[in-house]
Amino acid sequence: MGKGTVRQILLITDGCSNQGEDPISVSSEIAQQGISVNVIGVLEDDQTEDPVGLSEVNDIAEAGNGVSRIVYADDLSETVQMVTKQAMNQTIQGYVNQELQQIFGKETDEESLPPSTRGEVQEVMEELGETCDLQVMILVDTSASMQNKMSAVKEALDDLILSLDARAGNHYFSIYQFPTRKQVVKELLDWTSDGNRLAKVFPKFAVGGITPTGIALREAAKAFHSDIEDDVMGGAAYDVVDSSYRQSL
Amino acid sequence: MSSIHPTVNLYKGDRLKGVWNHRSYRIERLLGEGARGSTYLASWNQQTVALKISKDPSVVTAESNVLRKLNKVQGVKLGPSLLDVDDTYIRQGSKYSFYVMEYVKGLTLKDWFEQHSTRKLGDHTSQLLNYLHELHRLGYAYGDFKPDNIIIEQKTNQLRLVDVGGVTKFGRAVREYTTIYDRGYWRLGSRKADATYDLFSLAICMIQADSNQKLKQASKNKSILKRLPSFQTITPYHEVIRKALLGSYSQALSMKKEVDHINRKLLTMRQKSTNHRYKKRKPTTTHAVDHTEVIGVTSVVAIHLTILYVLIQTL
Ligand SMILES: Nc1ncnc2c1ncn2[C@@H]1O[C@H](COP(=O)(O)OP(=O)(O)OP(=O)(O)O)[C@@H](O)[C@H]1O
Repeated sequence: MGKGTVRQILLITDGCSNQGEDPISVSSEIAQQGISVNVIGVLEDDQTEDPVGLSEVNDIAEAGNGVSRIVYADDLSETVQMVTKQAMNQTIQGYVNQELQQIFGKETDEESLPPSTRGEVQEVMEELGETCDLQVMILVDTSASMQNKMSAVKEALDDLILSLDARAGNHYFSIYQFPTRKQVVKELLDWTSDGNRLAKVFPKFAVGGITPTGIALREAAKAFHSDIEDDVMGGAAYDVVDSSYRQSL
Repeated sequence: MSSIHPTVNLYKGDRLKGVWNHRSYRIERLLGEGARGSTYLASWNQQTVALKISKDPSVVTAESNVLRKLNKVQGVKLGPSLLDVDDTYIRQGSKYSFYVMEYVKGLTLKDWFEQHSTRKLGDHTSQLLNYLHELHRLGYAYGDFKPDNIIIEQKTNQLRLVDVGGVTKFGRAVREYTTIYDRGYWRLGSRKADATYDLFSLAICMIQADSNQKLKQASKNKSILKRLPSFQTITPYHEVIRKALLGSYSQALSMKKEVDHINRKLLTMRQKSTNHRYKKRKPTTTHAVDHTEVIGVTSVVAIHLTILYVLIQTL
């Protein structure tokens, strides 16, 4: 998973973080490491489409160079695959624009080329999007209120794998949950490209109303490094116990 | 950029001037909007055109690329003709990309299904299979095949495929799809673009012509094959549909051959029952394939009788 890899975190949540670090600043730190942070906010059926509590969703993604959407559980499947794809294209576009600037000088991006030339750049980007390797870490909010949405989340992830399988490039995904009873984040599935392993993932739900999104993001992002570095730690459970979190229980 | 919806709101009378090609368009009304942008009816030099604009410039570039390729094909018309691609500043503010294409005037197949259900289904299917065959010959799948994207052109009475956002090279991941027509959604295959992907979507369209509501029900537990027999107005096509759903036709033409065969059989049956009726002077419902025809004959008789009655009265 070397140079041609697009790295993403996909956070699926239904609430606002209420403990620990500010997820927005954590998100921008993660983005600096070349990992985009994408967020999907899941609405309750009786919620309006623009609830105040979920405004954080857009801010986290914005800070993380990512894409965000707020949707009802019924629309999750469609949204998850679309957000992943859009975020990937956005990353590639950023990369291609950088290259263009090296060739044509500052301030050049795809849009400053005439439409006829743009077509060729577009084809290059599409080629990259189809063939690059993709690493997606899925971070699922498992606070108590998410329980009734979990079947929709699972279906959406199944659907995402189907879309990833159709690409020519390789993909790897892993699944983390937050919070659990004792931990901020817990690995449910280590990096894999085998969609069949999804069926065996059953998160346990936390009780109480704690949503430590910031810390969870920070810890989950480390999983990319365990992989980038040596594989000595590969496969080892990557559970993190945060002391401040423990104390609050 | 991140969370914005790609739709661009324009209003009747708005003028868009292209930055590169300097053509000026007047917006008439919204034709539709989707996940990738908005399409407007517009006018330019007294010509009516369709204009697609998006906040995401790559949508415009990608779709106009596809149209350019399709427009090169001789013989059949695949997709609307591309007329212009440009950028514009909207109300002195942000810059957006747009493309302009031929406006295809007519009823979408979706509207047609709502008004006429399965009438002419066989003919439409056959024609669509012809287009798919031509497109597949180029090495592309249509991808987002659905009744909203098919227009029965008023002028020519031919079907036209508009919205090329889903057109994908064979072997690549389908770029754009709508869940209910997507074979991945039904867990009946992959999302890789190939001929069978489109034929699957076409089969779903045929089922939808019978009953959209029943199709939605079947989607709840993804049991389309099991439910197929319950779509009774399309019984003659059940076997063809089943094969298309299972990906048994590797080519649009082999499906077309079987559809045409059924169409011919239905036509001769219809003609026979019509002849039969005329001979006996009284319509029999037992063989009647075409109920509208039966109603037609009875009402004609009834009208004649009424006129006769009125004449006798006045005499
Ligand atoms: N060239 C055209 N002539 C006539 N009608 C058109 C033309 N192009 C598009 N339309 C109509 O406008 C509608 C909207 O098309 P558009 O491509 O904007 O979005 P969509 O298909 O609804 O969604 P998405 O963007 O997700 O594909 C289409 O369903 C079609 O009926």
